[in-house]
Amino acid sequence: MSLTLLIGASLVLALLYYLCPARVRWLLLLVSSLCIYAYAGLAGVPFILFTALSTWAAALRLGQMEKAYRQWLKDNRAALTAEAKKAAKARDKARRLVVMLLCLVVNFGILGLLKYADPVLSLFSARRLGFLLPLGISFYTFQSMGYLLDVYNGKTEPERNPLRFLLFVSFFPQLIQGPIARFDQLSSQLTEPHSFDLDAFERGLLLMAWGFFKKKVIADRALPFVSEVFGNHEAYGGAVIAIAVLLYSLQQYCDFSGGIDLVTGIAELFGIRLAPNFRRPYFATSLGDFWRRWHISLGAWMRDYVFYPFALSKPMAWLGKAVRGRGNAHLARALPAALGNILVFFLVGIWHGAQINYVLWGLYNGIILAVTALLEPAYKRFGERHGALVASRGFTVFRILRTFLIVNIGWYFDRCTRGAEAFRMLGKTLFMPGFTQLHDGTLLTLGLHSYDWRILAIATVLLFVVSLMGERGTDVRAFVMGRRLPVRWLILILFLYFVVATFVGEGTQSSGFMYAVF
Amino acid sequence: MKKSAFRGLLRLAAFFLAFAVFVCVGGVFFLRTDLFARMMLLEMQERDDLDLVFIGSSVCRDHVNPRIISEATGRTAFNASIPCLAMQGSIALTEELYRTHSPSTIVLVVEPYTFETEREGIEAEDTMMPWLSSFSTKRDYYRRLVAADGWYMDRILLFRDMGAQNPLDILKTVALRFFPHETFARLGNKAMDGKVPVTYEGQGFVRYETELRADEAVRQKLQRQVTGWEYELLPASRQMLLEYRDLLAAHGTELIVLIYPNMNAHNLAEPAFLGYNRSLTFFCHNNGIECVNFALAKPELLPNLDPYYFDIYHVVGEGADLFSSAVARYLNLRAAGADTSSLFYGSEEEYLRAFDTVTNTWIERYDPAAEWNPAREQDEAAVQALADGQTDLYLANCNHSPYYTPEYRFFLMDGEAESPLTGWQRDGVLRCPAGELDHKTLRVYARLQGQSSAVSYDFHTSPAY
Repeated sequence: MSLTLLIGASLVLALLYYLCPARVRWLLLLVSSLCIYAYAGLAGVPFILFTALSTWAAALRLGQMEKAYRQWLKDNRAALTAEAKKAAKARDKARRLVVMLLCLVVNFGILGLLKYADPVLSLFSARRLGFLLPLGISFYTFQSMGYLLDVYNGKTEPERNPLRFLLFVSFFPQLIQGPIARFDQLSSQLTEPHSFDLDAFERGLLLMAWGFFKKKVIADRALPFVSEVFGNHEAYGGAVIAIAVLLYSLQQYCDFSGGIDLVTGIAELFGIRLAPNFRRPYFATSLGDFWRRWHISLGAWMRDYVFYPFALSKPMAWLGKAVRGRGNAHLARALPAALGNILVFFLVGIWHGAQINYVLWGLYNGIILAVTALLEPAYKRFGERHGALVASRGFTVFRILRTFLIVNIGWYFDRCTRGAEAFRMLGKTLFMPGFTQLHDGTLLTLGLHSYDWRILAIATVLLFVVSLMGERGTDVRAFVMGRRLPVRWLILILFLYFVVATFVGEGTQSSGFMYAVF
Repeated sequence: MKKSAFRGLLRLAAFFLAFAVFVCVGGVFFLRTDLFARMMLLEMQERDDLDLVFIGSSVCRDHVNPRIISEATGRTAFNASIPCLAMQGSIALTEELYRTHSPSTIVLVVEPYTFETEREGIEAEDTMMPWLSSFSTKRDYYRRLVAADGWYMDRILLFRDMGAQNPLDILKTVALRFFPHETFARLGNKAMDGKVPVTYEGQGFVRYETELRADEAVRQKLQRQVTGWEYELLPASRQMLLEYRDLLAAHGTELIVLIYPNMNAHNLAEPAFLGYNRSLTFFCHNNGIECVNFALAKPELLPNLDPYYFDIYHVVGEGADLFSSAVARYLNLRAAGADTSSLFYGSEEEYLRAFDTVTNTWIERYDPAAEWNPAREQDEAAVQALADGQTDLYLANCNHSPYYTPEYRFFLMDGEAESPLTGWQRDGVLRCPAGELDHKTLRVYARLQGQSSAVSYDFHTSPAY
């Protein structure tokens, strides 16, 4: 779907939303979400309906079973022995587990089949099945399964109204590329009637403009260079490759976070606050910190539904005990976490796609985090011995740059389509820089003219300044909105003019969001 | 709705209104300005005495020297041309002309581009729109443009495609708006149009001076076969030509449609161009519009301009002077009531029969694996039959009239020394064992059978695949 169309449709819908009677506003959101989804691809509609309705039914069943069990327990409390209670609880848990697993397997099975069948078949040179990948399938499947697990774990009450749950799954701004919302955070916001709040509306518009700027001015402008160099890396030296990786870093961040800003802004037009998905990740001082700032909703999902269940599982507890028995208390604590990190990032890699480069990228991150966890005592000792140094601003900058470097090495694996290519490009970056390509005009033949470089430089500086203000605790939107009217308008007009004058038009290879395909 | 919210909404609307104003200002000042188009429009707007006006695109701007025409005809001539102008822009420019002038004759200089596309290049709009005086002319121009291509936003946000590249561009545009003469004097009457130095000579004429020549501008036929682009008089363009006729009639101005003289090599490479001229002439005659086709001008009226083309469409100043003299002579004869038909070939066939030289020749290497193969303009099947994987094929071709048969002769070059590889032969095919002629220079001569003068072309070989 065209970005301009999405923005236009959102503004019209926002208008209709506030003109509608309050009690049917959520229905308007539901109908428009389904219409927009159908417009993006009619063939995807049955899949999202199936996921939503099967999850709703399974969660409702879980709730009923839980309720029935509690009622039975209440009715028979006096007659039950402790063993009988324990046995009944185990029986109930097993029955509920079956329902939960069934729903989980079916829905993840559909996701796996549609998303991974072709890449896996291609590994064996088998004929591809050519399945269509419904828009946002990873996002809505993870969101639905998160809800199911929350209901199973008793953290959330099941939703009784299937239409309300369908709205939670299909709310159109987040369908494209998330964020992966939690039911308890979003559902009530979707269904409660919001009255028009101009301040929130303006903040939403501003965030939309900022997201559009990141996506269409920065990400899409950097794209041709990145595509050219990664597509024909044999022709370029390591220095050009390194620039391409840096631009990929910029492009990917602006594409994804810009899209998130845009959809968060759209949601705010309706008075709905989506959970933040980015928190200036390139200011992170460690890889762990980076992943707490990047794609926060996926990280949180993995943490709650994979990492903790795995790290706190019985085998891990047994492993911890076994290591502790050999006298290494830190290792006993850190080993389950380290293995959990490797598992989580392996899955995050697979989530991006079944190609080997994603697996390598996931393992690269997971292993670094695991090693970091294991080496924590050494870091602690270093901090104790060099407290002043560690506390200095220079050391913080060093840590930021070090993290940036580590993340960017990972991007080689993320962006290359084959693992071997990533190693070759990395090798060229280190040992065959070919610096002459930096000043012989090559940089101006790779899809970016000098004008494009200037635009990119100005836009990146603007992005950096705004991010720095945010990092220092300034709410940039509040800062702008708090200026006197002439100053505020001048800032906004100049910014909007810059965006309008420099955004990359649609109809090019750059129109879609990168994460919409995941 | 609460009062405060209503006020807030009004404030929001006011903001977007302010932004729209800013965008409009940007559409005037934040653009690159074509210095000579600005000077042409300024001169046109400041004068009120123009009697004979030539309107057209860049092929009019470079071909028509009004000073020569004024001297020869005694009329006040002017060249009102904007690069990439199509019918939409011609109408707008003519409306602007009528604000201060009452010309008795307008010569609409046309090329295939004028009618075969419904989309006028955004360059023409960018060049002209900011300088039009009347809001209604601007509005109608915009309406015609977007009716054709639907680029509603692109044509408002001109600065996106044609915006200033640096602060100096903005400064120049602002200065040219408020102090045009001083700025023109300060900038100096010199500029570059691509790689070609140009000067503004007044009366709208821009003189191109370069040693460049369109020696290799020969491949139109091939490109059009690949792109599928065909000359065509589109219905919307026909309609606009009729609107244009009526506009001039309403002002009592006579209209002459002048088909500009395409390069002969171009005509020979792309005979459809001549067919396009014919259909345009036919359409004009059927609708009461006078049309003169200088593509069929005989040498006694218009000498061969090919040596003056610096690219496939445009001529240097000397060529413009020759062309303008020919146009002036035609206009004088016409004004005197003389029969001018003898100055033009009566048909394409007559023109092609009279064209008894080879304009240019070239060589391509045949690559059977290539998707787009220049050698296809030869007989594809015959060439494929010759390709056996063990043999390299070099193919010569030339632009010539279909009523004559060309012949070719290949040489291997060693510096300036020629070693013959073939005798004169009708097919332009040179075969040799694979790789034998790699990294060498081949020369081909082409001539019409029975003639002695030939044109040549040097080709530096390299492995094809």
